[in-house]
Amino acid sequence: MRLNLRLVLLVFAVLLGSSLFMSALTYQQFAESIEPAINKKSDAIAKTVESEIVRALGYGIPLDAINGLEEYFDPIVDANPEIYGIRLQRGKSRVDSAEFEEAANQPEAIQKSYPVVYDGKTVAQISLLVDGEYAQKKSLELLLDLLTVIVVSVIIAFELVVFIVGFNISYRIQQIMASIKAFVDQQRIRLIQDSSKDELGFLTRQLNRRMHEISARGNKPIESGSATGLQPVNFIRWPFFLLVFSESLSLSFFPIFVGQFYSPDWGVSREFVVGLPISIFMFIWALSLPVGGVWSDTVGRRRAFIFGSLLTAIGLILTAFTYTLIDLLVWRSITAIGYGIVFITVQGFVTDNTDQSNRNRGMATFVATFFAGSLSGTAIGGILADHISMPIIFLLSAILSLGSALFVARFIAGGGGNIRPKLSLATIKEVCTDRSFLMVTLFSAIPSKIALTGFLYFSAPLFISSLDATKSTGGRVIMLYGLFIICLSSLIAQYADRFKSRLPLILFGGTLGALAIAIPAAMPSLVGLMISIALLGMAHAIAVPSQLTFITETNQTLCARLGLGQVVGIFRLMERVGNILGPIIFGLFISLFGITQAYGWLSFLVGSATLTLAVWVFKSRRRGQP
Amino acid sequence: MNLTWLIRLTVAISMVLSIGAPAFASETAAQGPGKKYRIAMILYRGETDAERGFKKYLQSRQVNVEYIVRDASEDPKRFPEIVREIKALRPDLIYTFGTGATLAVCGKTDQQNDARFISDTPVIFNIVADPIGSGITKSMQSTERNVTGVTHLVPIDSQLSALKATANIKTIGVIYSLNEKNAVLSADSLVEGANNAGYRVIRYPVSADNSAGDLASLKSVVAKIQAEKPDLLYLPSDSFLIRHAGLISEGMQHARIPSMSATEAPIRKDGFTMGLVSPYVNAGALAGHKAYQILVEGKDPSDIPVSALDKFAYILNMKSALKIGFYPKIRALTFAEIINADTHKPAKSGMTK
Repeated sequence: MRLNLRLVLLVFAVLLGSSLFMSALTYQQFAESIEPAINKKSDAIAKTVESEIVRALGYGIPLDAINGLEEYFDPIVDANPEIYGIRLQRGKSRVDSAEFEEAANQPEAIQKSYPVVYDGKTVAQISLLVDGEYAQKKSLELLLDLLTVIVVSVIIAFELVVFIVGFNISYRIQQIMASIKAFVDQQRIRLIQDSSKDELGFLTRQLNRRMHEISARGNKPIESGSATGLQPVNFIRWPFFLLVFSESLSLSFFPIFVGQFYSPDWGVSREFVVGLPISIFMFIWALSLPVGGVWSDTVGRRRAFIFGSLLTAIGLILTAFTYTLIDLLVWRSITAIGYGIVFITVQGFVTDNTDQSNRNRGMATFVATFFAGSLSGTAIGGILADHISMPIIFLLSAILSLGSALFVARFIAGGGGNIRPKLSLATIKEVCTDRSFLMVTLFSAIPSKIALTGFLYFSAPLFISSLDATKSTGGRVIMLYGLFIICLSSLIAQYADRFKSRLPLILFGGTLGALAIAIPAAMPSLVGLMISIALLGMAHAIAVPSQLTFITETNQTLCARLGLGQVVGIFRLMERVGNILGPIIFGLFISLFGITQAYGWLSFLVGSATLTLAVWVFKSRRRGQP
Repeated sequence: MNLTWLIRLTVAISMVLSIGAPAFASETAAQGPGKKYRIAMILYRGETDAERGFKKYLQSRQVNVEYIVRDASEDPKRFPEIVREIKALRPDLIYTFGTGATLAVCGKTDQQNDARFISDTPVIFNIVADPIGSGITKSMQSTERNVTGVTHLVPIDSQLSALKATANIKTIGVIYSLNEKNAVLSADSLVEGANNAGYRVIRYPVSADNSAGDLASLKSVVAKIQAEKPDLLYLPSDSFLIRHAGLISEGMQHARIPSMSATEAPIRKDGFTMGLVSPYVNAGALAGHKAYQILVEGKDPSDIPVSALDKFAYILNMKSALKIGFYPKIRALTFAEIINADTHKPAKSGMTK
């Protein structure tokens, strides 16, 4: 592990250093060239306006009689974000583009004047209102893009190094150590499976030869099977990361993509239609998990992962060629099934290859990989969407999904998984009638998921695009959620153990979540949304892990009787109802109250759920229950 | 900016293409002057650009044609006699100009077996404003008889968009002859389209059958328009009024009322202010192409759809506009074909910065 850590740190240092250096160079070049480029552009615009006016004069139209100037100016202002307004001053009268005066009062607005020369005389003056901070804004955008790319490349490099070092070095050393340990501790002879021709392979062959000698000399049998038998959880990290990354590329603009297929003729609100594919995706995904889980148990993780990621790729390719909302729903459903199969298969892989001692760590790795992939994909997808068309990004996602399938085919060993007990309806009924299970699920877990899909996946991209922000800004803002989850989760996990009960954490997280969602209602700006998303990440990092811990701890007898896995499975199933409801509920709120107020109502919903839970806790405390 | 350049470019290209495209199609021209075809032309008011475009097209494709031209000289009563003569001459193809001539040659769709009409010779009509409304065909896809042709009608919504891009006005007066079916249809469709677009429309019908008294009736209608002063006068495709477009135009100039025409000639020749039109020469070339398909390629007229031009020319008569102090919006200037501009002062840009 120490070797791992050192290698990882070294790679980090090199990668970070070089990418920072390259980014600094790029940034400097850009910052130097953008200012003159912007000046040239505004000069060209003024020149065009002047030549059209001169032409009208040439036809014999008097200067004061040139008509339709506002209609001529406005599209120019709309098409050029750095131009705030255009004014033609002719003698004492003047014509302005829309809201010229308001724009002129902006502190960053600069007025540039150009003469209109006709027949050798200056007859009028064109004034362009230019955003004086446009160059800085663009430079800042580039800087943020560069930083995002650095963060994501560091994450990707980390995932890759963990795999490569694990596969080529630490896993092999562990096998050698296990073999030696078996011999030293228990005098058992196990050969090491390694046929590589590198130094470790040489060492392995030497050791194996010695084992044969000892076996022959001491008449001891050579045991079959490898020394450890388990595949490291880290092996599945990279392909899982890649798949989550590919699926998340569209996260920051998906609702905008869906919006293209909306037609007002259907008689339903736009918000409902835009939310529909997300809800359907979540629904099909939730359905595919239990079914896919059972299937994955029987056919083995390798085949299930490959099948699931191929299905995801097919769904993504078809999504790229969407024509109508109906085919979009079908293609997204295919993607959801594939994604669900991979998701549950990776969980199964972690369970298969861990035991009680390291299962929690394995699951934490699973969750961390999921969020790392999700935040990286969202951020990169946002940047890409500013430059290439959305269907191309779906195709790119499909290629990455295929890559993850290929990777698993190449590096992950086959074999069946452990058959887990099926969920029976009776068990579900028994678990769901438990008061504390039901309360936490209904009033904490489901509202959390409603906030995740309704607020983050559905509303945030729409809200960001309504603010005229770029898609890369959208990606970065949404990425904050994952960033906070990753950074805070382990910290909170350590701290949470000091609490006797998890309830205060659940209630605090719920309250914080409600507060977070209310922020855009009070502060409908990009900054408001950023604070809100960061707080939501924080709230979920606090509350969500505690929900499950609370349930398993308070229902120890139930868990012991039915098996922990059963209870957890049912909890996950219930929780996903929130995933499905999220976009539907928020879409409804938007169509009823408008987007700003909808945040208030969603906050009210999450807040009152938390309050209900708190009242129940308080009452049952008085009665002496949990 | 790009948009207006695009519009200018497409207008320019479409004009070049529809006139010049045949020049590129040299593979069939290699046949050389083969069979000599006899085409009868039945005209209403003499040869126009439409016929010139037609002839030029066939010439460019090296089709050897002998034309038999008959002109009704604006008297519809002469058509039956012309048709009888042409029927006896048995040409290879008949070209008709206008709704009247076309109906005189082939009748309406329900008059096919009428002996007065010609059904055994292919007919190509041109400059018919509304082939369906006037009963020449039931569908644009096929006339289902020995007839096909070209309509020069520009969709009314396109004309109104062009008007909107040129000036902000509220009332449109429409002048039309009551006895010209296509003019009445055009006026009706203008009223409907303009009402939908938020304009108020005033109808100015003229009862005319070409007698001397009708000119007096027209003059009184013009006087009425001068008195009521709509913001703009619209002239649909109307043979009688197009012939007297100069009189109408003069009246409008006098009252400083801008005028818009659905056809080309009143703008180019009579001083109408503007119009979004299918240039006659292009319509003629398209009709010529259909004649080529029938004569040389041996296609059946019922297999050739009736078609309209899909690119139009927006013409602005600058001299007329300036005379009445009508100043088109600056954006219109960028995509219009401006005629009669006083260019003694060349437009030159002298910006230094």
